[in-house]
Amino acid sequence: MFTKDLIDNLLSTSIEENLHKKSEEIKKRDKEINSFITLGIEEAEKASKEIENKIKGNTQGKLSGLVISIKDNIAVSNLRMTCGSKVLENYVAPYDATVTNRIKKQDGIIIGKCNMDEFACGSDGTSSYFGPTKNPRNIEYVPGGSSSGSAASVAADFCDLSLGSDTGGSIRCPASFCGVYGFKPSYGLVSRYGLSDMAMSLEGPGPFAKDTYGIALLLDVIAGKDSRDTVTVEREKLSYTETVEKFNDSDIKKMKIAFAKEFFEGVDEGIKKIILDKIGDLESLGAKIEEVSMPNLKYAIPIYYLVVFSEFSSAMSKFDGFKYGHYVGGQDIVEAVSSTREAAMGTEVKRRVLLGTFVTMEEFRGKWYTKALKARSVIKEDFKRIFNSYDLLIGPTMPTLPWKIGERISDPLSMYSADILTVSANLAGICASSQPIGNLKQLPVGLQLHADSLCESKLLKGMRAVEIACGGM
Amino acid sequence: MVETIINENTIERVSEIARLKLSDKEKIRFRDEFERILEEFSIIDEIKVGDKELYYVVENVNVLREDSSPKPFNKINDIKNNFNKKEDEYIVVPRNL
Amino acid sequence: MQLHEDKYKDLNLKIGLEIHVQLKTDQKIFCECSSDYINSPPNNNICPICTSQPGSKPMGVNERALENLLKIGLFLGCKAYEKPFYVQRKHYFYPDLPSNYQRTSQPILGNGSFMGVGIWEIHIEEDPGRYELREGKVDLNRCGVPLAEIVTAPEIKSPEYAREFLRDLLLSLEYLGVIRGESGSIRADVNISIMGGNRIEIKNVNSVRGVYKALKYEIVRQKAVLQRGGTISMETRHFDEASMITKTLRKKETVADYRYIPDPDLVPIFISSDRLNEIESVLPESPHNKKKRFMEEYSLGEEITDALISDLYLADLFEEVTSKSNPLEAGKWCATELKRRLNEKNLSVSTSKINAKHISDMIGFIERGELSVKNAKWIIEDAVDTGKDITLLMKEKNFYQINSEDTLIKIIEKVIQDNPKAVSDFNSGNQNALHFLFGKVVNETEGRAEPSKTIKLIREKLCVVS
Repeated sequence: MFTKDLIDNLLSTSIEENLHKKSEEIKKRDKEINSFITLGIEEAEKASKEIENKIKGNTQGKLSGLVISIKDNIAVSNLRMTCGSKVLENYVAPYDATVTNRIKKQDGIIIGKCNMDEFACGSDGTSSYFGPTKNPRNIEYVPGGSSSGSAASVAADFCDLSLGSDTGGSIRCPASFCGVYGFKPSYGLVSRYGLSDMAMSLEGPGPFAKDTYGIALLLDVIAGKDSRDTVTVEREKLSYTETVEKFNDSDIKKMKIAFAKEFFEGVDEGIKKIILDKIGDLESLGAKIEEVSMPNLKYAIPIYYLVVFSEFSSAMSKFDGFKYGHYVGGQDIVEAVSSTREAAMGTEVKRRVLLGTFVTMEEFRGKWYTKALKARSVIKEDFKRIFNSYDLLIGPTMPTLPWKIGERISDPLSMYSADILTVSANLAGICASSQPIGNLKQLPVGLQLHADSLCESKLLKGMRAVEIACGGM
Repeated sequence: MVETIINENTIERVSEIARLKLSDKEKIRFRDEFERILEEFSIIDEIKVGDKELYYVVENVNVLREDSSPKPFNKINDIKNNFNKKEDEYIVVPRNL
Repeated sequence: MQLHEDKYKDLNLKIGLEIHVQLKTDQKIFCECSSDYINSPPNNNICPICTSQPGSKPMGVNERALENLLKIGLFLGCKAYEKPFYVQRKHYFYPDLPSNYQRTSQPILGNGSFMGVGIWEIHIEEDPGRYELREGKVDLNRCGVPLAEIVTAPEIKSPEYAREFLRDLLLSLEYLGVIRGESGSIRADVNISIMGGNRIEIKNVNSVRGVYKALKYEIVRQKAVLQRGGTISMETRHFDEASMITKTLRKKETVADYRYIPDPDLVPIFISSDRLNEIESVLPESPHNKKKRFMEEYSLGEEITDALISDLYLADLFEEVTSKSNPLEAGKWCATELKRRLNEKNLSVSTSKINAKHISDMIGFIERGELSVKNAKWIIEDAVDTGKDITLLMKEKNFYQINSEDTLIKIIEKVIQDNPKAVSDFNSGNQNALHFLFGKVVNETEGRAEPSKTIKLIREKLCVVS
């Protein structure tokens, strides 16, 4: 219960000290790690004083002055919001995202905006216009992406909690690579108002923390219906933190956990072993473990990317330079917009915009866009079948360990295939998590759990079970 | 497996529709990449699908909003500060004669 | 209308309209900004949602906008589809469209009709902002105001009919209370083909008059092309309000692939039949039903009825008149003289000073023989313009007919005395002389001699004389 202890500690010591410690760490080491694009230390200090007073009167919010970093595609008013891109290099958000609002209301202190793959188009954290983020566990290695800075800032102790976004693994992947906890909520649980999302029907904000309790805490603050996002739904009527606190060892005996062989195909042998060992530990603690099949997993990447391309190219249309963002100008409205977009967007962003335009054009859409949408139901149904009989699906988060920065050639297809274990959860809209369970060659290994849509309490219990099986806390 | 041949003309059209000016080098590179990517992705043809296109994973319908007296945004100047070219409160863009 | 259509008989005109009207609401369609943007300084009626700031999302569709659109559809006799509809993204780049896509729904209602023209479908969409082409200036105040788009079948047969159709449609919509009535805020895309040829689309015509002028111009232009041996190819044109002609848009802009996708940010909407029945029950009587009822209840002919129901305020006025006057008379006067005068002055019943009492009073005067049919037309004119009481107008204009026999006889005797030749002509068997003498009496009385009585008296006098 590391985070819980931290809060108790804060209540008896000092918010300002905690903040100060964090900002000192950032000053010392973030030049190297590059997890932040914009810092908001002054505002944070002001906030910390106010919260300090609230604590004296015992009126503080749930987050009690914990230091929080936020991915730079989520709006925090009066701070830059760059989405890791030259396109928005100088854009200052004029409003707060709903999640930002909720964090502020519960007295979280926002320390800064985190580095990310440009417009969330990446899985390793190296495609930002503001330079790559390094893995705090070993700075020669990639931190994972696209919420690279969020994961790194938690791993490096620059903050207590972080908020990222997950479209196809963008929270779980860097959580796994950096050795921290990352959680992808069910689609519709957390409002996307203020999140500059890459794929609207797949993406949503989610928490990073150092433990299950921390995840539950931030989730309690941000989850729940919002009139500003019509896809949001009612959350379970319980407290996530209480769910975690009340869970004990004997509850593990009640769990029915599935694992699918397809989730282990093509996975690094060392990782496989660590995961299977952990599954064995859970079994010894009384959980029922059974093998299932997910026969359509091999189609997940094409289906996912076709949906992403289509939605991404639509989302990116707004960037013409007139209202905000980088602007080049030109003779006429066509020239001005084309030159502006060309000059400011990175290669992967361009690639996805072009492909998305292509697969939604009249003559091509039947074969690609429409087909992908029909195929998507197939993945959703696979999960439905599994969750009819099981509480959780368990497996690795990533097929490999983090690689060295610059080691992988940026071939799009090989980049895309790194997401094979994470994209299905987004296609089906269910919740999933990654937590560190050990090391291999001194790099962290992440274990992934899936639970059915809007069954966050089940997933959190699963995470707690794994935490206990790791002898943790 | 590849039925979609992407020719120069296609890339040209796509970049026009997407308002992305591409260099000749980029055109060649993207054309090659797209053919490979789409060939790889054409595996989805194997999947037996029904007629249902899944646009939304949530079951919500009819989220309507009650009309009431307007609530003006309170930081309009912050929005305007991001306009690239302004004149007399208007956004300035190229003319279209 | 007959006359007009004859003029174009050989051209086989097919005209269809896509009409955009602003729906009456307090807030915009997807955000809480005011939909009353006209008086706001540029870029001051905006928020993160309607300016498409990164991360912003549309809120749920404005309920009142949707309700008003359903009222329009039901009123025009449309039916709903039995399934949910999506709001889609229609992608095209333009400075007045902050997202560079427009949110526009699939058809919500369809298969209705108005004034004999089929209504194919109606759907809801957001208004873009304003881009002043010549000045290179953009104002986003109007972004997100809710619009209804009404798509007609290509069954309009002349520019004149198009003008009347639009005018009457707007009147009906105002009558329903569902649109913003500022300066006839409509925009229309006009489609026309002549002699079975290709369809020409004229985009963004901003007034009823503009639609009329654009169509007139297009007919002339296309006829000239065909006469020269050319052909009409399908294209999109632009109507220039200043010069009142249509011009080709650049070819690039005419080939549009909008790459529609259902908007992932807006969940589908389903209108239940209960909801529709609820709305229909509070609607005023539809033109279709009113027509049927007028013809049955008041025994009116079809042409008169059509003229009455095309302006619902006029139809209401007519009905009010029937409480005091004979329906056939009321119908005749309302559908012909009154309507004509209103059209001439570009007024409607609601914007002029005419009311039901004027008409019923006037009919009363006619029936008592105190007002001639000829002068009644002037009475209507004045009532429309000034709203004055009919009795007052009768006095002012000295319209009281003379039907007292004594007065008439005195004048007739004078006329007979002054025109001996006419008298002898009559006695020789020339009936025209009677009319001649009648004419003289009319002149003497400044048109106030009651015709049938006068003629009867003249005849009597002449026979006595002989």
